[in-house]
Amino acid sequence: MNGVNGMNMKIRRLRIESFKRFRKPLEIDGFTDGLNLFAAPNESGKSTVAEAIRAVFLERHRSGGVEHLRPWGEGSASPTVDIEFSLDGQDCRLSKVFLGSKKRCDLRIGNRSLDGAEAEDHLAALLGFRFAKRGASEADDMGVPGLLWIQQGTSHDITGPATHAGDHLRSALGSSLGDLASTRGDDVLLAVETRRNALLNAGNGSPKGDYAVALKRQGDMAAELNAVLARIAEYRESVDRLALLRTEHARQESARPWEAAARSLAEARLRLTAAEGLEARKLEAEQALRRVTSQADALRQKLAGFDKDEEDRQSRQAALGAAGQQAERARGAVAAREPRHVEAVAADRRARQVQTLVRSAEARAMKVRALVAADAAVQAAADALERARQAQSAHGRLTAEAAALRIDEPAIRQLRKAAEAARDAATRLEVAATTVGFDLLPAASITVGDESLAGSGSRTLLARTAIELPGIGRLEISPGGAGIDALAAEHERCVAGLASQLRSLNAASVQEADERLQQFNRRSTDVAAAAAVLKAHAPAGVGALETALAIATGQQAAARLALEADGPAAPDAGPDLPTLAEADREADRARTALDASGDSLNAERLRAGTAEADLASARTEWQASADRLADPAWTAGRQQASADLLETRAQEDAARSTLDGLLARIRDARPDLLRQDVERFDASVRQTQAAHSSLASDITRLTATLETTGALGLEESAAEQQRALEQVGRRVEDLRRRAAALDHLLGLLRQKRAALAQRLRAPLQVHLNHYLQILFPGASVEIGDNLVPSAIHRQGANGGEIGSFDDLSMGAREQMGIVARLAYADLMAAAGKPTLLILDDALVHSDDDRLGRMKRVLYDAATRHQLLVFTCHPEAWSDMGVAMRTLP
Amino acid sequence: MLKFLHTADWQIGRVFAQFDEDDAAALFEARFKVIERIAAIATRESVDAVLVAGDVFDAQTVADKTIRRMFLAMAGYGGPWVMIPGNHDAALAESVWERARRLQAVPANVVACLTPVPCVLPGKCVLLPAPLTQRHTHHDLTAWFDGAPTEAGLPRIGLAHGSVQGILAEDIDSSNPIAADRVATARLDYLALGDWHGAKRIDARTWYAGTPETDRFKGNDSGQSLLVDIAAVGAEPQVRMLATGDYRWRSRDIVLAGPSDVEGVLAELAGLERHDVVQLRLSGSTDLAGHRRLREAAAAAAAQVRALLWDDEALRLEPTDDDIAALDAGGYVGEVLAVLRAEQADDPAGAERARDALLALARVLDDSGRVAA
Repeated sequence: MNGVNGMNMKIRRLRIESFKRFRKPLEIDGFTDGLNLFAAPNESGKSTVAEAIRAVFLERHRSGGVEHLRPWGEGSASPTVDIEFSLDGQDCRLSKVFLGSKKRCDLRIGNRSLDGAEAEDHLAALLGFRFAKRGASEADDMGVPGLLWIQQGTSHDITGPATHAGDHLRSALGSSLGDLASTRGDDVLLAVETRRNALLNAGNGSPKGDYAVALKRQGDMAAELNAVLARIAEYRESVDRLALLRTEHARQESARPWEAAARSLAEARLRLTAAEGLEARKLEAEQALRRVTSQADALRQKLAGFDKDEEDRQSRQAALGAAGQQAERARGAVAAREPRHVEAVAADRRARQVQTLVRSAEARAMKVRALVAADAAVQAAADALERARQAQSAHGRLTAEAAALRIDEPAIRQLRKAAEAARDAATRLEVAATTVGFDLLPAASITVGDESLAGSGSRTLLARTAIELPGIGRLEISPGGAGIDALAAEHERCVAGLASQLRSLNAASVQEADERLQQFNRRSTDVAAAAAVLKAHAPAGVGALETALAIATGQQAAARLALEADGPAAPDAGPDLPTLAEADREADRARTALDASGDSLNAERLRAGTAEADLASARTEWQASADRLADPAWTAGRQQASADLLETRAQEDAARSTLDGLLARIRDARPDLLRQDVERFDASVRQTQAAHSSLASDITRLTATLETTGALGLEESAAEQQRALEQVGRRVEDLRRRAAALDHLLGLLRQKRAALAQRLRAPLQVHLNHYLQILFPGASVEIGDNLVPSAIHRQGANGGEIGSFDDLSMGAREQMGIVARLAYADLMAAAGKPTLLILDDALVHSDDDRLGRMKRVLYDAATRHQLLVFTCHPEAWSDMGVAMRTLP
Repeated sequence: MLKFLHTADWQIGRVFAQFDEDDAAALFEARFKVIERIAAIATRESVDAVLVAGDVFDAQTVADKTIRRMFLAMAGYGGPWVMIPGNHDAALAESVWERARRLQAVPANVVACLTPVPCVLPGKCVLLPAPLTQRHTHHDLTAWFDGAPTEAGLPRIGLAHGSVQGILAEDIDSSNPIAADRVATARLDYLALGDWHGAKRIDARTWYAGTPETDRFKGNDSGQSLLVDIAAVGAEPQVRMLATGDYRWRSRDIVLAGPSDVEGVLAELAGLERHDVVQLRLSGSTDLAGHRRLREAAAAAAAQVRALLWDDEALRLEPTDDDIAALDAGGYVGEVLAVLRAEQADDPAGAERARDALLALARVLDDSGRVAA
């Protein structure tokens, strides 16, 4: 790094006493020129050491606002810091005692000694900070130390500290940077901007304020003026038109075209009158012609009447003949129809007789069948009743048997239990008893109790028993088991209970009781089966069957009575008697044939009657017609009418030729055209006069309009508007030029200011880039007016990216914060200012990779500056190549 | 024998668009005032008549009030006023003259000749008028003068409005032509002409009176009226120019090269007074101090004169080192100043803007300097 060769400040030794957590004196020495690493766990006084360094330099020894420096609970202690350092090669020592009665400040620089406030002010000027006016020092007083001595957790914040140290940084950059932000240039820029923005919108540069108002006014006035100019043009045109109208009016006044038209009109009217006389005669001739024509027509009709009479007579004669033939045919048809009708009547009667016979035979057969069925029903009912009665008696018998055998099943179970108890008691007794076995010589015998025994066997002895051994004597055996007597009694009680139960069941033994129970169960099953049989034979009871039998018997009697009422069976009608259906069909067929025959006969008779009537009327009509033609007056009338028609025809021809002559003359005269001529000339007269008077009124109207419009003084006011428009135009132009000039000026000022700022910041940029290349290779950084990094360009995975400093991650801001401070330190050093860097637990947000790069950065910086690094992660800093120092 | 005043081109109702409202109003007003002065002169000189050769009104549709005021302004002379319409107030089918008649604003002693027929002032003269009845004519309306018979013994006076052919080449306007030898062919004792705004003698008997109150910067002998004296029929008329105008119209183009030129302009401005209507167009260059002095002097002069049209847009600004020192424009502001100077000199398109920006910057610096002081 070039150009960094300024004043050196190196801490050599530090002694603290009665300072916060260090009640006892703490002394640290052996500080190296470059990197010094202090490792200690949290709360072990690492920050206290940093704070002591801050306090001894930055707090006035007389300050009352440093109570917090005292150890806890020691209200009377006087915190003391004693620090030795070298400044540009000179040995220096600063001792401060805060609070209490002993407070003092001593400073020695080389051979020079200062004390009290003088010493403090000297150091403030040297290190680039100032003291608070009162109380403990504030952030904005701390200047360069505030920036370079990074307190725990503040390394990411660069803007505040850099601003507070701004003056010192600027002076380090050179006096001209001061000019940049000095009031003069920026005041000018602000004034120009204000003036420019009064006329143009800051954003899009469109006119505003007075300028916009003037432009609007100009537009409005131009529009108004154009409207007036248009009216003036209109006025001038009207004046010219008025001149034309007047000329035309004068011309008409002298030419008087309506008079010529009136003369033509009179002439046309004369000719039309003549033509109209011909038309009247034509009408008369037409009427005469119509008259004779209608006379002729009447005569023709009259002759046609005579002809009609004659035709009439002939046609009626023919009709009479035809009616006669018709009547003859009808009479024949009736005669032919009558015998067939008689035949149909007879057939019908026969068919109905057969039908009656068949029906009565069928009815008797049905009654016989009903009687047979009734007999069968009586027999079936009697059978059913009998079977039901047998089933009923079987059921009764079995039920009685079952009742006799009935035995209570729980009682049986009780009995079995008693038998078992008796058996158990006997067994127990037997076990308790003494058994005497014997196997006697063939002839020998013994007497046991009352029993004499021979051969071999054994006896159970329940009580004291004497055994007589003949020839030998007598043995008396007493069974030894205790309670044998009780067992014997129990046995006896059980046997008695069993016997009593057998008695109550009326059984000799348990086996017999069981046998009876089985028998009872079997009989009960039989009873159920017999009940089912009875139910099958008499579902509704035996009574119902008896009732059914009585009903069947009644029906049988009724059927027999019905058959007997018919009397004896008729002699057989013959084997060819048809079935009832056939007989019915035959009867229907005969009836239909009879009806058809009757209808047909009646129709023929009706036709015959009509034909007779027609014949009579035809004869009457023929007679009337023949009578009329026989009258001599009829013939005379006919001849007269023929003669009249001839004469009328001659008259008609004469009338037609008269009319044709008139029509020819009218065709030549063309009264239609003459009439049009009259209309035309008449219209011409009126039109030319109307046009003339319309022209006169147009002139009057136009004159009036022009008089009114003229009185408005349009041209004079247009001239004034033109003048006002030009005046506002001058103002618009003035404002336009002013706005353009200010806009241009503002642009230039900004451009030059930016260029200057860029130039001035160049040294800082160099230092910053130096570290930045270690941290983010290839990145570049922009420095704002406040000398703080404002934006960073980096090559990321997605190409170049630009980010504002504030948008960076915490870790990156922390790293950039330190990098920027190192650059400031280099800048200060280059300007000959003392630099000391303290990092208290910095870079805690950095990952291993970044931390590794930052270590390179710090190692590099430590070649130029003394660097105190306090950390609670000693393992993270073990590769810095310097001894890790611990605090006691 | 015959004495009359010859005037023309009153242009009543003219509005002067190039001026601001108050100046324009005063100049509008001046055109009525001059009629009053003409009437006074006519009375004083006891003339037989006042002849007005056209363009009495500036437009056909002036306000009614304007018409009435004009005729009222003539009240100071009770003798005959004879006038003809010109191209501005031609006797069209409907015209300002018709309106004046309808308004009954025309006094009995005023004769407006709207048709080309002789007008006899009994015992004095015969007037042959050539009124314009169209806005523009392309034939000579005075031609009929040649054949017009007149009472013997009375002077024949022609009254016309238009361009004498071949004489006023620079103002050539082919419409409304007038033959240059009309006086001879029509045996006129005098031909009173209008249309040309400066007083001008065409020949001994043919004169343009010009407008009696100047209405433009064009340097000619306007602002005059002619007093014409004819001793006898056929005698050469005696023509005297009388100054009637109130305002002096002047226009100057001044090129500034150095401080002395600035002083010259300042002196000129200082010499102006209330009758002056002045147009000053400055070009060349000056320093900022000179420019400031000129602007201040112009502002002061504008209050003294009737109207001042000040145009220094073509004037380049050359700030001197002193200027810059006075402005205390160091640092980047100084650089901007240098850029603007260069732009003004080297960039024709941007020169005007650069100059304006220079002025704006100087003003800001002046103001902030003043505040600082």
